[in-house]
Amino acid sequence: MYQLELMRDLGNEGFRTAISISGSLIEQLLMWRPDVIDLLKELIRRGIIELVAEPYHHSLASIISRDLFLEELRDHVEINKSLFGQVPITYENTEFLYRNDWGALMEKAGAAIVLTEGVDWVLGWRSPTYLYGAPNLRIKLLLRHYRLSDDIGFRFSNRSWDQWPLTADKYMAWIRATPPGDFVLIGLDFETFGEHHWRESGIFEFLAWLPKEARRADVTFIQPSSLVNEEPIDYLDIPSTISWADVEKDDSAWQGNELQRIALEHVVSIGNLMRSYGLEKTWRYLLMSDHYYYMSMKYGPSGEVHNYFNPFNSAFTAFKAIEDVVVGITCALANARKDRFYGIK
Amino acid sequence: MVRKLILFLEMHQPRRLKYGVLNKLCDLRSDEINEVGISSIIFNDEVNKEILNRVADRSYVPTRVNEGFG
Repeated sequence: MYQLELMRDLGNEGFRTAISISGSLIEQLLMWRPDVIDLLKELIRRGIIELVAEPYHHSLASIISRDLFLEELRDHVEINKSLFGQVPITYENTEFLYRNDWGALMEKAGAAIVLTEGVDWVLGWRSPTYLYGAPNLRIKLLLRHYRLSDDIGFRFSNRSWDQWPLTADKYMAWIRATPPGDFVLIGLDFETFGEHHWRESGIFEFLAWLPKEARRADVTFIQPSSLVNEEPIDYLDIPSTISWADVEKDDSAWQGNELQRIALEHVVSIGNLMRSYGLEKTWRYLLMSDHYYYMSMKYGPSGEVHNYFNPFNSAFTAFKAIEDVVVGITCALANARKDRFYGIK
Repeated sequence: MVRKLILFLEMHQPRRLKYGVLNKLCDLRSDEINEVGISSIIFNDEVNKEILNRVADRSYVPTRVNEGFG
């Protein structure tokens, strides 16, 4: 809320942002904090926030099936349209997951611009600071500048970082000094401001000073949709999965080990059964990327990030939680079937 | 030199799963099997509500503290 209030004030100084609000969060805000929804509406109406579409439940739908991915995208567009009165033309897949065929599906769902990661092995000698196209598609690709993003997202509070403390004027100087290009895309979790970096870290002051320092550095905040009519400088062929997660920047944050793959396979396997009992919505919630993220067993920098976000004690506990649900729901529906046919429990 | 900046923010709160719900699910009566009933058993929405309120009220939210998982 404070972040949004701050952004509302900064809007008068030229601050702009593009935000993807998952359907999962929208539903919870509507239940418990409708005042946040009202504030979001105001920021969207004033053009400070541009909405970005994503799979409704922040799910792994794209990994499961084309139809499910399309449905998830369309459901999210629909709630953005009905609740906020804006039809997004900028899309992202959950956590910037991307590859060629998913780009085609996002275009089919209505995307004109897709945000994804500026992965080194995709870019090669090229820079993430230009607009790219996707082969045989009309969508434009905007690539996240992960080094400048991680300066805020991961390093901001790190006192052993040789650039600490990071101030808004220093950061804008870095943006300005970025090798030739048209724009820089910074992509972060919203909770970077206030949760990943506590108030005491100075993160809100950093945000508050960004527009002022941007003006001094002759840098302008823009929305992704403003680039929709620009011509791509080159085309990027991305046949394998990329994402913004972990050092690997692929899908291994959610499908990198056997636990994760088995759990997702089990959840997918009860989809038809749950649908037949009117439990489609609950099933979609079980496809949320977070459940599988908690089962990661990575070490090193990626492992530290996974552990920070994990409410469970271990990957195995997270695995047991979802397996209990899969087995339990199957059990409940088997009992219901007995009840239905024999009138007994 | 770059003169344009795009700031993208991903805003998402998962519905966390409760731990150890197998028996509760197996004990369900058939008339209790619906989205609301199942959701109240498997999702830890009390914790989610608390976290959302604390975020909305400006507090820092330690992700791992006292969430009551295994």
